[in-house]
Amino acid sequence: MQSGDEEASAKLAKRAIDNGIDPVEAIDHGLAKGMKIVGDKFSKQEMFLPEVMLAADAMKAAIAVLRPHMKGDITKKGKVVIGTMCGDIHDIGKNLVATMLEVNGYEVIDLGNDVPVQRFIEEAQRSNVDIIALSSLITASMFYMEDVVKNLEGLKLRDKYRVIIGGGPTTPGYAEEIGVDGWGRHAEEGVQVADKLMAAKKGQKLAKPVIIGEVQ
Amino acid sequence: MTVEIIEVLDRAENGPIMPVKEWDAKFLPQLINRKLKEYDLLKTYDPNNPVNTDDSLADAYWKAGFELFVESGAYNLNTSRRIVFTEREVRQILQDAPTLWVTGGPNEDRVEFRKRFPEDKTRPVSVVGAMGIYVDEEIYSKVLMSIAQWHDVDCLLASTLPTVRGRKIKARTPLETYVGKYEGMLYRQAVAAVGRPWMPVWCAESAASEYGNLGGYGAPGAYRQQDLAIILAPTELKTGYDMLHKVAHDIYAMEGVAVGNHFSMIGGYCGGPEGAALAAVSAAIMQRAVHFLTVTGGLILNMWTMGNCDRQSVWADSVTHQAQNRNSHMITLGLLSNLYGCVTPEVLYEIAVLGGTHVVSGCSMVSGTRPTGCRYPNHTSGLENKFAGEIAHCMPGFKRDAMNEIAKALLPKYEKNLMHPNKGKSWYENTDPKTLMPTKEWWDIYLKVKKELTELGVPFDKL
Repeated sequence: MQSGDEEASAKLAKRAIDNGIDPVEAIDHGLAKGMKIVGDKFSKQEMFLPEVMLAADAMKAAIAVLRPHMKGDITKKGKVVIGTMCGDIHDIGKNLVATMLEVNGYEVIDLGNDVPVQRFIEEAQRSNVDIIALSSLITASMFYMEDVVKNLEGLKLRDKYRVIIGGGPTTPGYAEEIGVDGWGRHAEEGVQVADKLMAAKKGQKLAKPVIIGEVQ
Repeated sequence: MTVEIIEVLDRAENGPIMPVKEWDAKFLPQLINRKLKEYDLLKTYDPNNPVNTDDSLADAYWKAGFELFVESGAYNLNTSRRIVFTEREVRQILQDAPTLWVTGGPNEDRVEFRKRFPEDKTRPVSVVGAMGIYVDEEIYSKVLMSIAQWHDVDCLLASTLPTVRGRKIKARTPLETYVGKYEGMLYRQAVAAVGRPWMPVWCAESAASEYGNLGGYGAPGAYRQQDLAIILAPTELKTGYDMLHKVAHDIYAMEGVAVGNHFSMIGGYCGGPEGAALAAVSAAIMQRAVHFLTVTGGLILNMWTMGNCDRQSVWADSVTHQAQNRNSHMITLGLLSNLYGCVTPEVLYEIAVLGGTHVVSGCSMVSGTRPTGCRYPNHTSGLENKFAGEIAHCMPGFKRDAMNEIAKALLPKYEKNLMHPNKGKSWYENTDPKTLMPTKEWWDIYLKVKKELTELGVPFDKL
């Protein structure tokens, strides 16, 4: 998996099943540990984004083989729908956060870039996600983040999802102004924000957004 | 032989198809790695010498980067197709690249962009301002004037208007077209108000899509043919129809004076500093071939800090610019993406290190600045832009080894906190709104840093 080989990961997953290994054990002691190593190497700049993206794909290929043999579902920290806002074609920051979330045990649905407001909400409902993660590098696209919040409120869905934001022009002040639940300066801090929100009681209205990485 | 815009647009529709994820995660990273290996460039990053002084290393990066572009081409995000060129075409494109562009006006605001080599004595052009920084509409004109008033600012760089007459400007709405003209009018009024009516401007910034460009250029009272039309390509080696709209428009309406840049990201799709330096060589060529830029920017950004004044970025920036400027006659730009804010000495150290590196590495244009990495609204002033202009103008002829020593002395003063840098003070707190002069606190920091840099050998006496 660390080498990003989907075919080899799927083959090894099949071999694990053939050898009678519990698929949950294969995930917890094989894939999850492997992704932890990948995440650590990425943080130390021993691996780079493409390798981590391919490792995440290899993990998914293995899970696809293991899943039909599982009695229950895979335990994940949470489910996140992520995308770059309408009008913004920059995606490296969003890809980085998506990858870091996956590496840290989240199931991530990536809508890509230039995503219309309503598409986030439709996917959140369809996939029953916990978190809607919004990214933007451009101020004119960032303003669509508040429309996501307003539309959720209008549809009486705001309490169902945590909304977190990040990217170049976003600030803690903007997060508070538009009423989202979290903001992180860097990708790793975005994961910490997601962790804190998942630890909070679902549906509980926060007095202030969770902010990690603000500077003086 | 010359590949015209119409042919580029054909190839954007009909080139080889490839899913974007394959381009990002497999095709390009693997090609970059292969070229680094073929040219023995792996592990050439030297943290002890942040400014490269090795010509043969720069030349090897050029050869590898040239081949990389011939084998990759550019990626069109709208059609998922590669826009590819033959080696012969790329050589002709480089041969056809301009070496001189004269713009501005008939008086002292005339500006000459000339091809430069590393350690060249020719003066580069400073194109500075609050680049990409969200500036409140109420103070927008004053902010522009507080920057344009300094004569070390050759051309003014646009900043972002978040609202137009109180309305938030959302991407792809008609307000983007509207703001193209509106922003242009504010610029023309601001530069005229400080007695520099012909001063060129690099814009439009408030609408990143094509609408601002199409709306602002050619409109009476807004942007003119003498201004610099901005075309920014997304990482890595990508283009799209919003950019190609601007190209098609600029070639006819602007008579071919497009200026743009592309960040190759350390830690991103191209890997470490070596991969980023290599990709940036290809990006400079790509932007000339696909976006027809008069001034092209194959630049570096660190994905972790989102700035480019850290040690790895400075090294990669020096290598890629020396590669580009020793081996082609393209007019190239460097761009300062600093992370500390105004009213801190660190932001000036960042500007001195990377700005000086741009000058000694042969860039024809030094651009920026971006206090706080453009994150915090209104975190800009005239002073750091004046300082960037001074660095650009005093360092022509400076040697790379001397710049390396300066970088070695200054980097330890700011590099430890680049992940969480001091954001400093906003324009409201750093500038007197009546006189447009910096506060005493900010001016004193500026004088102190200049004294310190003078002792390190920066020749401010040449100004």
